[in-house]
Amino acid sequence: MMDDALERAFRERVAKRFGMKKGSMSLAIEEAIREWMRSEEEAKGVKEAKVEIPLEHVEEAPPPSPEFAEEIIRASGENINKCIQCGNCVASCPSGRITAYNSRRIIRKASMGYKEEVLRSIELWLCTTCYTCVERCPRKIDVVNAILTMRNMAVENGWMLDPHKVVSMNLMKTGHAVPIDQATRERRKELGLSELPPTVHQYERALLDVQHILKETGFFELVEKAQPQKAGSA
Amino acid sequence: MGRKYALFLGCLIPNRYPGIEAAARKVLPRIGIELADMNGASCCPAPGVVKSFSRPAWLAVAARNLCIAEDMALDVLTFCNGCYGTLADANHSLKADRALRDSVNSKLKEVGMVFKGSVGVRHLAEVLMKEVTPEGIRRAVTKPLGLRAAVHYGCHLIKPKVLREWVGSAERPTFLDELTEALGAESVEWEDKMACCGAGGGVRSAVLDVSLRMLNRKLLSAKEAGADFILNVCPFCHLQFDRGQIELQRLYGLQPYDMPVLHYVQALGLAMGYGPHELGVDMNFVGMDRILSKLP
Repeated sequence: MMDDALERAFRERVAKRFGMKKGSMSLAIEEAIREWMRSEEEAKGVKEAKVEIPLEHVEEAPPPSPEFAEEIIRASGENINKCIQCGNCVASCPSGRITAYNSRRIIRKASMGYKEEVLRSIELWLCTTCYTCVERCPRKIDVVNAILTMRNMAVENGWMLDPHKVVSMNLMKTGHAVPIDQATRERRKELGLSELPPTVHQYERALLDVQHILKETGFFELVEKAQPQKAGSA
Repeated sequence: MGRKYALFLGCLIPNRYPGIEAAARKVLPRIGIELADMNGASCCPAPGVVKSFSRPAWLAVAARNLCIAEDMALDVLTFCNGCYGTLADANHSLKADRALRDSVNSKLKEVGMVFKGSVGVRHLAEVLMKEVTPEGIRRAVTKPLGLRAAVHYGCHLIKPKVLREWVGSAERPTFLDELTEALGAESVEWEDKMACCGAGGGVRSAVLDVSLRMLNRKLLSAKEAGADFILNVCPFCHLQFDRGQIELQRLYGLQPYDMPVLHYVQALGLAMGYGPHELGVDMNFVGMDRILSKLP
C-alpha cells in the first residue's frame, strides 16, 4: 500500500501541473514511470536516445484549451477522441523505436487540449509519415493525417524548423524542393540527358505559374512569418 | 502491347540521381512502356515537408502537375514513392471532394488550368506487376543478376492501403519480391525489410541523427541477412541508403557497410545487358564493386 502522505502530495502536484481533470493522473503516472525507468537505465549505464527540445521550452504548461481537439477534428476529419490509448501506434513506430517519440501521447495531449505543448514540441516533427500506425489503429484513426494537421497548425503559428524553411524557400525560388546543382548538370550531360530536366527548370513560364499558386495559397506568407527555430538533434 | 504514360520526374531523380532517369528512358520503352515528358512539371510537392506546412499549397501545386498530364490525356507514371504519395492521394481527394476541387480550381484558373479528374496516377512497380508482369520481365532479361537482393518497398508505395488496393497486403506485400526474382536475383528475408528508411516526413532534413539511426537498423539487418545490395523503387529511399551510409561513417565513425544501392530500373537495366555507366550506377556515393564483380 502506498503511503497516504506521499499519495496526497502526489495528487496535489498532479493537480497543479495538469489541472483537476479526467486523465491528469494517468499522464502524471506515465511521466513518473518514464522518469523512474530512465534513472534505472542510467544507473545501469544504458544511454537512452534523448531528444533535445530545441524549440522554446514551455516551463509552465498553459491552461488547456478544450477547443483544440475540436479544431483538429474539424480540420483533419479524424475523431481523435475515439482513441482508446492502446499504444498500437507507438509499438509500430520506427521513430518511437529509437527516440522518446510517442504518437499515443501526442493524441492524448491533443484531445485534452494542451495546444501549445503539442504544437511547440519537437516530437511533432519526428514522424516520418510511414503510415504503419494508420494501418494498425484498431479505432481506424488516421494518425498521420492528425499529425499533419497539427503540423499545419504549428506552422500557421510561425513555428517551423529552420531546415524546413530552407526546403520551402527552394520550392518558392525554383519550383523544386531539391533543385539541380552543378555536379548533377555534369552527370546529366555524361548520361546523354538534357543538362536541365524538362521541368520548371527548363520552362520559366511554368515556374512563374507555380510561384503564383504558392502565393495565392498563402505559402509565401507562411514561410516568411516563420520565426527562427533551431533544428533538432537526438 | 505497349502503353504510353506521362513521365513525372519530380526532384531527386532528375536533380540528384539522373542515372535513374537515364536507366528508365533506355530500359522502359524496350518492355512496352512508352514515356512522354511532362514539360514544366514542378516538385510534386513533397508530401513529408510541404504537406506538413500547408495542405492548401500542397494540394494546389499537386493539382497543377496533374493538369499537365490531363492535357496530354495520359496517366501519370512515377518511380518515386514520395511523388506517388502526393499525386495519387491528391488525385483521389480532388476526384472525391467537389468542394475541394472547386476551391483548387479557383486558384488554377488564374494560371489557365482546370483540374478535371480525367487521368490516373501509377507507380512503376504497379505497372510492371500488372501490365508487364514478372513473366514479361523474365523474357526481357538476358543477363540474370544472380545476386542476393534486400528488397525495400518504402512506405508511400503501399500505404495508406485504403487508397492502394492493388498492393494486396501492406504488411507483407510480395509484388516487388516477384519483380526482383524475375531479374534472376534472390530476394532475401531480412528482419527490418518493411521498416521505414527514416528519410520521410521532413525528418531527414530537420533531425538527421534520428533519421540516420533508423537507417542504421535497416543496414545492419540487410547485412546480417547476407544481402549483396539494396533494391528500392524510390529516389528518396535511394538517397537515404546511399548517402546515408557515408553520413553514418562520417558522423558516427561507423565501419563502412559498402552496401550497393540500386533503383529497380537500374537493376533491370543491368539484367537486360546495359553497362553500369549507361545506367549511372557508378554515380552513387557507395561503390558498386561488390556486385559488379559478381555479375555474369
